[in-house]
Amino acid sequence: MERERHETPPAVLSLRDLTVSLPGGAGRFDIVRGVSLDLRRGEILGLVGESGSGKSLTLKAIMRLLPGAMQTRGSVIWKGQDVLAADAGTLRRLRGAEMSMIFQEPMTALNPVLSIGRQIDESLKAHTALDRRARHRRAVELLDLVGIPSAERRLRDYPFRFSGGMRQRAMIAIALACDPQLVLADEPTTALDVTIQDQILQLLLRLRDELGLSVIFVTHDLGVVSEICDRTAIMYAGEIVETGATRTVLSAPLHPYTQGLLRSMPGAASADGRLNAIPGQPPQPAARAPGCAFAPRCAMAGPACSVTDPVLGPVLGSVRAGHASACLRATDLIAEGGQP
Amino acid sequence: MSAVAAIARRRGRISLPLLIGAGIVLIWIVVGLFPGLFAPYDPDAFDYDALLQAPGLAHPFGTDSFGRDILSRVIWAARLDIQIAVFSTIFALGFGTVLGALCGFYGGWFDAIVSRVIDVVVIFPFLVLIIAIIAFLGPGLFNMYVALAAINWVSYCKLMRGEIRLQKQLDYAAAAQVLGYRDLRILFRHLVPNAMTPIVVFWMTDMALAVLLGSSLGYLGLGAQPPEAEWGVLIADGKNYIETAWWMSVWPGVAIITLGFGLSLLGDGLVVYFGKKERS
Amino acid sequence: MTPTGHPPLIEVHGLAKRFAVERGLIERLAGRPRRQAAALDGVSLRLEAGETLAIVGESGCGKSTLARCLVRLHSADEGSIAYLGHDVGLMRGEELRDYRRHVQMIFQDPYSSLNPRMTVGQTLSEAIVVNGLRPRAEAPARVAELLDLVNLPPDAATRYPREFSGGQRQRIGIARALALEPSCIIADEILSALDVSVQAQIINLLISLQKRLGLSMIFVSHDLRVVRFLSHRVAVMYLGRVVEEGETEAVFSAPAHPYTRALLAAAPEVGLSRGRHDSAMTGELPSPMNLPPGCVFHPRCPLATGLCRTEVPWLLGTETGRSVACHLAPGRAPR
Repeated sequence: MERERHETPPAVLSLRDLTVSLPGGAGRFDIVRGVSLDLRRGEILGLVGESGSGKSLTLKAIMRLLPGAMQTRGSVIWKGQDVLAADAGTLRRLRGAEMSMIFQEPMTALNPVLSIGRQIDESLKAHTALDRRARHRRAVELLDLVGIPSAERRLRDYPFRFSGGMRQRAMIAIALACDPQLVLADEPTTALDVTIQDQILQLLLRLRDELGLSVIFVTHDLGVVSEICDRTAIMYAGEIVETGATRTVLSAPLHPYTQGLLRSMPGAASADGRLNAIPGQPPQPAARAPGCAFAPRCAMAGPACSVTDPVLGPVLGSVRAGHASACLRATDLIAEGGQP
Repeated sequence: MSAVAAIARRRGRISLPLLIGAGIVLIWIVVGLFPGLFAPYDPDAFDYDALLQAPGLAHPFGTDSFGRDILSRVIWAARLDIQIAVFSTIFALGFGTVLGALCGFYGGWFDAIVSRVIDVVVIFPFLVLIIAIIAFLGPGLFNMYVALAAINWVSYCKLMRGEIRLQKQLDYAAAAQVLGYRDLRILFRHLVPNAMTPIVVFWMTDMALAVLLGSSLGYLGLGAQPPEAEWGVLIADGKNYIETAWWMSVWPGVAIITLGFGLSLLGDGLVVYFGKKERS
Repeated sequence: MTPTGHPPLIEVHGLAKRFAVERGLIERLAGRPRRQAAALDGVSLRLEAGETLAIVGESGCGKSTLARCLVRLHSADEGSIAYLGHDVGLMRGEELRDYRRHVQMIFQDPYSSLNPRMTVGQTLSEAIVVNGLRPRAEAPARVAELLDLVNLPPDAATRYPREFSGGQRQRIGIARALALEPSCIIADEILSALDVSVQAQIINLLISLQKRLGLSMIFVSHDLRVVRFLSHRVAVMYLGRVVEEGETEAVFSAPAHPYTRALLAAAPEVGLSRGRHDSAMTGELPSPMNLPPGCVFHPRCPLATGLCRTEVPWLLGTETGRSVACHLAPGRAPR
């Protein structure tokens, strides 16, 4: 399934130095710090991290959905245009028509007093010139596409009539209504059971192949990432600490945090029957010390780590193209074989 | 997001309405507690040399038809009006919350009966019912308190009942049960403290309404009785002179409005304060 | 009875629990019958002392209802729960309090399961003093001991739950359960609200506590990875019934029920990038108000036969110590 990419296609979405900050205490502090990413056409990029790592904020920043108190700096280039600088009209056209979003909790993201059909229709009305009959046809087609049986009848149903999995399918249908090229998925399967999650993941893979979607998939589950993401970026304390092809990142991680995450999963237990938990807690964004944010919890941290801020970059000696890590001791990790 | 939320919370918790409301209410409480410190004259002293004087240097708020200083009377009346605000609501608050807590916690036939009684009380227009009870018992402040307690408990009871039913669903209530605690301990030590926020907020609004109601009833002659200085009574005193001596009614009116406004602001501020705190 | 003659710590037999579904006014006036949703339907289990039994299944399978029945937060409609041979359903007053002391629960949501208006110290010492385990004067010392046991700093006692992270709150919940010095812990989805790295810390804590205090545990979870790691035996539930039960490793390496197989196949694994495949299971969970006849799994089962549609497969033991509720399980005589 690994896609051949000898001539790397150009990125459709590029984040450069994306930073989100909040006012607080003395001045502002950053909750997303200098995130740079490229997403290519037809690619699923996993954005992985624990709660508070800034992964959802990054996603919302791309869509300009952050509350006013949060300041966004850097650039989000979508097909050559900076989304962060776009005016209200352009933004409205982009949202829904070119990029759309799938949320974690479909029950709260769907409007409970409008039928599913109406909600799809609304999006079509706003972004297309289709007439009523054509919009209806399109809506039926969409429910078919996401695998909701007897679509014609289900259009008239309200969200509460749908089960969790069906609701998530309905939300995906709404997100796809106007043929967006970019889908931002914010933990879309976290609230679902594993068997339903499996169905939704398969659906996303199929839609990506059929429609050529580009997807950023935010999750905390490395298993899910392994299943569907072509590339993966690991976030910690607002920064990307490692990025590369999913298979590479998960099998030969070059950041101690990624290694720690993989090791702390049950199934990778140490000899004494205990899990290798990462000690301590992630830092509070307001109380961030200089140097590497992970250093206080890192077994490998040296004196330099609490002074120098590591920069995300290719690791000297790594044979895998596109594999980057933000760790001062990444080269030592290669020497150790990069085993998780 | 938790850290972000924590910071936003610390910043936004104490809102401007809370500060202003608490300030106004505090000023009136201090004035009501120590009227002698603030009043320039004896509120009941007649001065036949200064009848119906317009506001001026000697009498900043003017004088009434007996030459009494309006400012002093408004200040002394604060004592009574704050008393009205508290006593008109506190009995309803106590009875209503305890009953509501029991209803919400136990449910069943007891709850069904209380709920029907509430339905019956709610059907009647509030003010008509109050006036009817006072008319039956006879005018006066004490009977006004009785009437308000008899009617107003339903609001607190309904509010508390709903809130307890909500809290009962939460896991800490289940945990208390699993830990082997007895019902009354679970209810009054665990659930009720967590259910008090909306009650306290509603109480502020209710006190503001009680001040207005007390003044209305005073004006109608059903509440405080002349010559006791009460803002409603003062306004009633001035009603015959409204064209010649506007200051007799206007200043007590302003006093009612500020206290009512202060209590409302305090209530709104508390919603924000508790709301932000609880969302953690 | 176990071979040694001792009754098991907890034995559940034929437990059933139904919840009445609210009818609207119009439905009542129209004389519609009272509808019921079956949450548990003939569940039988046993837990031996010192053992960890995992109960796995997806939402709506009844695993949390079972946990709540075990601590008498719900009372069962049918069947029995026995603690060391004593029927829990018949316990009243002091006897019930004694049972609750021995069988404690840790809750799923670390946020709502702690009283937000009590400090950690108050929460813990209340549990100690009310149950008469220590006099009030000795409670603070015991609180410090408990906090140390769950690796929280001593000054945690004076702080409120909101000052702690999810993982720390879950430690407080564990300390509160341990305050009663129980012999058995019912853990209801206690990891599902936590981050992966924090989950690992809590799992390690549970393991070390179990070793030090000799606790038995019923571990309710939907996370197959954790269950496989943590439990000695596992019971797989589907729509209120146990469909398979046995030694954890054996069940995971050779699942005998088609549902268990589908569940294992659906769980995403690191390093298992399968690409696009057919989902292990199609369709959605049937409504618990209207369970399918026969085997409840048959509408989603790829192997279902005519027999499955009409007859309920009972949970039967095999010689390997495994119990399976499937007509097609090996060893069953085909009819």
